[in-house]
Amino acid sequence: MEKLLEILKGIRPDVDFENETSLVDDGILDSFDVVSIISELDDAFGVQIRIDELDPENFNSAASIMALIEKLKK
Amino acid sequence: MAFAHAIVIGTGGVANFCANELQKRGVSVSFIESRPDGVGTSEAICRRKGIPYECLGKESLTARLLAIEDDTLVVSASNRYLFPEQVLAKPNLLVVNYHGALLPKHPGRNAEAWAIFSQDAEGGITWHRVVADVDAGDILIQKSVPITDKTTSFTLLREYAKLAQSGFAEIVDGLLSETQPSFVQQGERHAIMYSWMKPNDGTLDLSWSVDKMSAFLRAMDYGPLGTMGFPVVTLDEGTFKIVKYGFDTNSSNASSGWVKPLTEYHIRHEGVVIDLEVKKID
Repeated sequence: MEKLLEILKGIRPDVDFENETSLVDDGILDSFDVVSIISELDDAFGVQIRIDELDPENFNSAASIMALIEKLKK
Repeated sequence: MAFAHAIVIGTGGVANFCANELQKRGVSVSFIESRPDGVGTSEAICRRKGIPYECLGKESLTARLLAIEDDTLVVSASNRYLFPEQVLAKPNLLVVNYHGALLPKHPGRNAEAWAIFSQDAEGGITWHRVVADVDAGDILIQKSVPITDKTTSFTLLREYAKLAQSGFAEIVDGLLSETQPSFVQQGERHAIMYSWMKPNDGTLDLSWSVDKMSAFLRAMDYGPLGTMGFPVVTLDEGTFKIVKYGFDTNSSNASSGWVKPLTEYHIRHEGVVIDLEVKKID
C-alpha cells in the first residue's frame, strides 16, 4: 500500500488518498488522473488494465485500487 | 433566466464540470456521452449527482436534439459529434463548444499537438458558439497558457481542462440569461486538422534544429493516452518507433550513434544530446 500511495501522491499531491473514498464519484480524480494511474500501475506492479474494460468504482479509493492490483496479480 | 434546460454533450472532466455548474444553478441538466472516454468518470459522476445520463450514437443523438421543444442550452465539451445544420438551425437551441486552441488558430482535432509542433509561444482554449463550419463560431471567452520547452500534448491537455473549466464558470450565467457577449474570430484561420493527421506524419526529421525536434517529440507525447501513437525515426538500420526521449544539454558524448545497439540512440546536434529509446519496427 505504501508504494501505491507514493505513486498516487506523485500524480495528485493535493489529494488525501489515505482518507478519500469517492475519488471518481466526487470528481476528485478526472479521466487524465485515472489513465495516469493505470500507466503507473503497469510500470510499478506489472498489472495491465485495459481502459475500455475498467470500472471507475475501482478507483474510488486507494484501498479499492490496491484490491484491484491484488486481483489482477492472481 | 432564458434557459431552464441544458444538455451537456461530451466526456471527461470538462464536461463533468459543466454539468455540475449547471445543476448547481438549478438548471434541469442531462448528460449525453457521444463517445465514452473509456474511463467512465462521466457516468459515475452523473449517477452520484442524479444527472440523467445516456450514451448515444450519432443518429440517435441527432434525433434526440431535433426532438427538443424547450429552450435549451447545449454545451459541447470533449465531444467528437459534429452538429448537423438542421440541429443548429433550431431557434430554441443555443449550442456552445469548448475547443483546445486559441481560435482561429488550430481548428479541428488534437489542437494541442499542433500548437506545440508549430512552436507557438502560448496555447489556450476557446469557448465559442457552434456554427456549421468546424470551430468557426463567434468567441465567447478565451484563456491562454505559456507553452514551454517542457510542455507536452498530455500536460497541455491537462492545463486546457483547467482553463476550460474556469472559462465556463465565468460565462455560464451569461449563457443561461442570453446576455453573454461574443465576438467574431479575428486573424488568419488555420487549416482544419483531422484526427488521422500527425505532425510530419509522425516521423522525426534528423535535419531539424534541436528546438524543432523537441517540439515534434513533445507534440507527439500524449503520455498514457497514446493519442497519436509512437513517433518514428529512420536510421541506417531501419525504421524505429521512439518509446522514450530525453534531452541532455551537458552531455560529453561526441557524436550521434548507438549507445545500446538497436535500442538506445543518441542524436548530438547543436551542443545538445537527444536520448532516444527505440524499438525496431518489423
